[in-house]
Amino acid sequence: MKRRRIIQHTLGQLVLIVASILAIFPLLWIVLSSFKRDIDAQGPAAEAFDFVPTLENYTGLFQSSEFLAAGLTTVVTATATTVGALIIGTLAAYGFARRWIPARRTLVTILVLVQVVPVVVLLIPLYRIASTLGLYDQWLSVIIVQIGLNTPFATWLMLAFIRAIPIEVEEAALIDGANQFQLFRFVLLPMLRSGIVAAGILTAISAWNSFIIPVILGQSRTRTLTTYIAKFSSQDQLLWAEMCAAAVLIMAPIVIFALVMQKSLLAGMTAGSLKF
Amino acid sequence: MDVARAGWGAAEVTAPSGLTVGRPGRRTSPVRPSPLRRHLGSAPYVGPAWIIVTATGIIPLGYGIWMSLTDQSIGAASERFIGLENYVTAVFTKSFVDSLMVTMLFVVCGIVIQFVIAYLLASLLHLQMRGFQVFRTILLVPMMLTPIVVGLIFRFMFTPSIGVLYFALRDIGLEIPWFTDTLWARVFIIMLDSWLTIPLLMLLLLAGMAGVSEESLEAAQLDGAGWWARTRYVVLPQLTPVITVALLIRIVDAVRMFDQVFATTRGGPGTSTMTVSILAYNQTFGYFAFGPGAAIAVALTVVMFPVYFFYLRMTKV
Repeated sequence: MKRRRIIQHTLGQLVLIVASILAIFPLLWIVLSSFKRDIDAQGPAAEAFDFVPTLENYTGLFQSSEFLAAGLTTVVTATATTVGALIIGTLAAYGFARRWIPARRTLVTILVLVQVVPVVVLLIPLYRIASTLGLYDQWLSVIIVQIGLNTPFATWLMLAFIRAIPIEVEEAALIDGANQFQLFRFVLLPMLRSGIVAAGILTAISAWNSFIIPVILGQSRTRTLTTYIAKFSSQDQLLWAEMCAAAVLIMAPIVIFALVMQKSLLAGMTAGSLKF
Repeated sequence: MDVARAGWGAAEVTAPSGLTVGRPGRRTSPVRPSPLRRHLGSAPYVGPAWIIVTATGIIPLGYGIWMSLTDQSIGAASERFIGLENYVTAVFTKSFVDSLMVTMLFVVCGIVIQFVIAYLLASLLHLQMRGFQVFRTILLVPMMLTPIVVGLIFRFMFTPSIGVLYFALRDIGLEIPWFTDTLWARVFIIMLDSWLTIPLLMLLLLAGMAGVSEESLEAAQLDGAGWWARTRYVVLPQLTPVITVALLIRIVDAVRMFDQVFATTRGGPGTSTMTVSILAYNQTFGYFAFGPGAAIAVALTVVMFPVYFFYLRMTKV
């Protein structure tokens, strides 16, 4: 019995090790390739370390005003989207949890619809509407659309966290003479901190990684990092090493951010996904 | 705020603020403000959400449905209502049915594979063997990555006579034409999608497993139930809610999958990996056939209605 257990554990560890290698290998390979010249980046793993390291891929990117502009656009739109979706989602969640709302079920249905509808159906209409309003190729249009698409999830996630707060806490605050703003600022916000962090990370990941929305809503000024790197997919002669360097720079910030915040992320994923 | 004191006096509170507990929409307050005040009172909370989802979701969706009923294209001077003609020319066609089949293939095969692997990994992590936190961290990383970038990375690693994984497989005797063969191109897309989505499934199942009661497992073990019997009669029934939610999330995302295909095969070779989303995109932006493109996208939305219905029912608000 005991020996069987040891064998089982060893096998289990083995499976986890193999899975971890499969999960991390592409990333390590990309990081390694990003320090190679294009010709060295191609080839079998046996020749992986047979190269002279170079920084030219990274210096090339940092000297490209196009790339830097795309980076700025990504940072600004992702940050604004996260903040906007968090504020709107938290307010709506509070309304759902604690307030009487007219047409409650209709709003729920609309939120779910926005969450599940295939984005491809919205593309041309969004482009047309943005053009009509003079918002084509503006950060604002990307931010507004991304906030809209991320609000439902932020709402459900914050709802799960708000529901976890006993209503007596709020009633006590009201009895002590707190007004609505004080209630929000000094009672609810501190208690919701981990939920807000979790919702913030998940929205940030989604906004940072989004691709098709910025493509549709503009040409140069709304070019984000994802649309910048997509140009590598349409070229005939692919610059693999430069693509790897760009990939590292795009993914590193969000991965580091998410890993640092891992604990809240885990809590948020579980709470939000299980309770919807 | 002193939480311990919070219960004090709760029964006497007449909730002047309009706080409600318990069933949605039911007020605990005996004093009901006028209907107008109630409507206005909720506006600061749900008003912004109403405005933003209407502007970015409902209006564009309605506009998309309208477009699918007109003959719009990039050159057309006017847009004319033509009824269901676009549906006849673009939806009730072999290319649409084929793309729907490809989409369903990715959804069904992908989700089965992803579930099996995610379940295996989650149950191994659940044993909390030495170093499980490290494994969990590493295994979660793909979830955060940019799909379009991961698509490019996979394409790089699998491209014949360039990519490291192409060479690795060739060296063990599997020289696979990933991007020129129908079957292998489809395998490639499923593999790429699985790599990206297994972490989320694993995380959900892991969270669900934490909620399975230890007592029932011990009781089953005492009764002599083996691994399969325990899984089948004790664990799975308790995991049903989690699995349902995870399935719905995955189906919706798999049907909408766009970036992964766009960055790699773009539907090729031929139409081997042409999903409905890619087909609609090509019609719209490749041929500038806005009406037919919209019709295809709307048709995909309609096909998915049963899933949305369940999704809505699962949303406990």
